[in-house]
Amino acid sequence: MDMTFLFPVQLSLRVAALATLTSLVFGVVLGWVFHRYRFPGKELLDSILSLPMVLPPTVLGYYLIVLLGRNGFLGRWLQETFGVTLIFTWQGAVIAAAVVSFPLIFKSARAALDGVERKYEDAARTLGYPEWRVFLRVCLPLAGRGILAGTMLAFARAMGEFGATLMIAGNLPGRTQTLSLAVYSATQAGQDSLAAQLVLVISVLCTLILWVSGRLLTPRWQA
Amino acid sequence: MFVIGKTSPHKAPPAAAKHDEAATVACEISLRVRGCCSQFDLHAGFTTQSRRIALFGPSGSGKSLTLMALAGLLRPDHGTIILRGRTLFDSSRKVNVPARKRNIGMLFQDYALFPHLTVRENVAFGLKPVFGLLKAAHRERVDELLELCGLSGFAGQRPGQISGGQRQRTALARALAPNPDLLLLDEPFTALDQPLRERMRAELFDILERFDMPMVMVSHDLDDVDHFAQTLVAFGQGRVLNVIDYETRRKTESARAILDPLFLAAQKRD
Repeated sequence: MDMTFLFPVQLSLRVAALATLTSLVFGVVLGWVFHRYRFPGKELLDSILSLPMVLPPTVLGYYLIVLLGRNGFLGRWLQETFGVTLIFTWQGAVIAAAVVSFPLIFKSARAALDGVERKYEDAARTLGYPEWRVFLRVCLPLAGRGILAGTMLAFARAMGEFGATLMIAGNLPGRTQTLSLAVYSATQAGQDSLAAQLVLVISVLCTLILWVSGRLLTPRWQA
Repeated sequence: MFVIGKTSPHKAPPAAAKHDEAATVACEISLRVRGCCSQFDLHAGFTTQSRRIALFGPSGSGKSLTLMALAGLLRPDHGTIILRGRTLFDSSRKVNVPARKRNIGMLFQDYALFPHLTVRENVAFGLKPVFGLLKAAHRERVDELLELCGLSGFAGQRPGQISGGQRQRTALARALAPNPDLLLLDEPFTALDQPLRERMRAELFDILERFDMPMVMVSHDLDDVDHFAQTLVAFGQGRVLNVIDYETRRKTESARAILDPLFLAAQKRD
């Protein structure tokens, strides 16, 4: 198969996997902080962290360029300190996809952790467990379903990311052109069979994700 | 809804008793719990050398909150908690030993068994090291407890697959496994229906008798208290109304003669 087809597919999988991993770590940790602690401005911060879910992707792209672009304060610092540029790179696409998929994991992790009844945590505490072990041995297994569901959705969302990716990473064939961007370009260029192949791949992949997550979701202790 | 009058300070027990090293539990706490539209003030003070203490009173009298405070799951606003000479909480000296370091076992009202773990994993939970497997001695202890509580045949099952009575015994074995200094029992039989309750009460106390361990039980059930209590701490409206040497009085009086007036007293102040 030719690279016009294979490259976008493998790039999308790589970008989505790395983005999901990143937002999984941040989402679960922040979800736990929000579950465990009370602090002023908590709900406001929750709303801000959830913004990427509702804002137009182009707006996110704009924010990311302001932040990470050559004149953005983080972008300039990265450039001067490490010589790293994120604009028009596939790593930039990872960041765009991570930001977009983060709220899906954060929200579901917080809800799932809040859904773990306090008595289980208390029982672990009276049995000598410090907070981090309570989290690992009680909260995480009991909230795992919800977190996994959020992760699956996040992966699918990262696969389909278009707007923010286009703005920060561009649409460079063979470099930053992900599957969803390739579908757009192929359609624009009248390459109908390529577009159809790509559409088929992403449709099958997303169906597979939803099906597998549905099967994984049945907890083993519910006989 | 709790209706609370003014927050008069609770009468402090004699200073000598407060610092008595031999006391099983010396507790003198006050705390305020705020709900959305009400608040509840608890001022609980009692000192006893008894090894089987029943906190008795109607619902909403503060006995369960007191138990939570003893376990370290609820932080009182003021006061002291001294357990067998060890200060667990002292607001004036800013001492607050966290629950995990109190070495107090707790049997929760609806057991709070970990649904994702087997009976055996539940019992072994408090003995489990951070990394690796249980030590051989701990494995033996788990086996002994499973045997003692009649759970050997269900060790591989999950809490969702066993009966209410088996669940309770699992929770008991789990609480006893780390060999706590004190065992707390929160309304241990309310989750069971009446005929089973009688049997479980006998079974539970039978098991507990083999452990030389001081216990504090919260209950509003006359039969529970009558079977269990050596000393009775009667609660009402967030106060300790009376501390009674139940075992001694029971020799000459019927259970109802002792307990009924306490219930009435607890309700009178409404």
